[in-house]
Amino acid sequence: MPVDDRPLIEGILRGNTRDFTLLVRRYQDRSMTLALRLLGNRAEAEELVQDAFMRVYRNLSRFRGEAAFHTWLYRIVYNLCLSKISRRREKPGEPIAEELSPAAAEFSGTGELSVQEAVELAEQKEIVRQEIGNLPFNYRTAVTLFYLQEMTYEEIGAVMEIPIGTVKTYLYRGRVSLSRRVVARCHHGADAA
Amino acid sequence: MNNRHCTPDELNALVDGRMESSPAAELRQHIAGCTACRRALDILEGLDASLRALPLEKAPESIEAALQKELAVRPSLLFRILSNAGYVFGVMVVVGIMLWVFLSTGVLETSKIQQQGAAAGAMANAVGETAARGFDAFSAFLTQYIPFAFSPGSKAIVMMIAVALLFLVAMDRLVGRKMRHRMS
Repeated sequence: MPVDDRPLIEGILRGNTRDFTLLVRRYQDRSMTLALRLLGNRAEAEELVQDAFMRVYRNLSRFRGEAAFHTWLYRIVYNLCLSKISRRREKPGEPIAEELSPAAAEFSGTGELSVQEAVELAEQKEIVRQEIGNLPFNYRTAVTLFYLQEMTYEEIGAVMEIPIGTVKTYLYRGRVSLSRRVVARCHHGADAA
Repeated sequence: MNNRHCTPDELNALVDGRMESSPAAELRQHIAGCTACRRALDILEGLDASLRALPLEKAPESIEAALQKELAVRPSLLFRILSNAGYVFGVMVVVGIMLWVFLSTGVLETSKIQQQGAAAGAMANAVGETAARGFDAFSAFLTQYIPFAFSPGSKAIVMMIAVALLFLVAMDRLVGRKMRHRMS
C-alpha cells in the first residue's frame, strides 16, 4: 500500500524539521540505492543524496502534489546523477531508433549454461548487482527504478521525462544486455572452476 | 501468432504481468511450442526473479546527521523580522510609485481620492482614539518599570516601534513558511 506523505509534507511546510527527518528516513535507502546504481561510487552517491534532500527541503513549497512525492524526489536524484554522468562524458545509452529484433534472436548466443545454473551462480556471486552497474546509463536507470524502486512504467517515464514506449525499450534492452553479461560471466566462472 | 516469434514488447508485458489474460494465454501457447521464445522467456523470468530479490542499499547515518546540521543553521528571528520589513518597504515603494503614476496620468482623480479619504479619515479617527487610549495605558505600564519619564515624542516613537515589531513578528508567523524556505 502506498504511503501517504502529505501529513509529513504539510508539517515540513509549517517549519517542522522533525517531519523532514522522518521523510528523509522513509526515502533515504531507496534514494541511496538509486544514486549508487547510477553513479557506481558510494562517496559520490552519499553526497548526491544529501544534496537532493536539501533541494527537496528548499523547494517543497513548489511541489504541487500532481505526482507522488517519491516520483518528484527520484526525478531530482536522477537529474543530479545525469549532470554528474554528463560531466564524466559517459554516454547515456545506445541509440534506440532502430527497430528491436525479435526476442528469440537476442538470446540466441547465450551458450550452453542452463538458465537455472546461471541464475544460481549469479545470486551467489552477486554478479547481477555488479553487472547492473555496467549497463549504459539509461538502461540501468530504467532497471533500477523498475526493480529496486518498484515503480510503474508511467512513474519511470515521469522521472526520466521520456514516453512510456521508451521506458519499455530501455527496460527490455537493459534486461537483454544484463542477461547476456550475467550468462557470459557465469560461463567464464564455470570454465575457470 | 504461431507464424512469428514473440516481440520484445510482448515478452516485457508477459514478464511484468501487464498483458490481458486472453492474449497472454495465446502467447504462452506459442511459447510452449517454440524453443527459441521459451528460452528467451526463461531467461527474462529468471533474471526478473533475481532483480526483484536484490536488497536496497542502506544509507549511512551521516546523511541524516549532515542534513540536521544544515537545517539547524536557521536565520535568527531578528534577521527574519528585518527581511520581512524589507519586503513590506518594497511593497510600499511599489504602491507609492503606482499611485504617483496614476495621479500624474489622471487615471486617479485627486478630488475623488479626497472624498473617499474623508470617509476613511472618519473611520481612522475612531480607530485612532481607541489606539490612543491603548497607547496611554501602555505608556503608564512602561513608566512603572522604566526609571525615566517618557516625553510625548519618545512615547510616540516607542509605540511605533512596538507596533511595527508586533506586526512583523505576526507576519513572520503567518507567512513564515514561504519566507523561511526562500531564505534557507
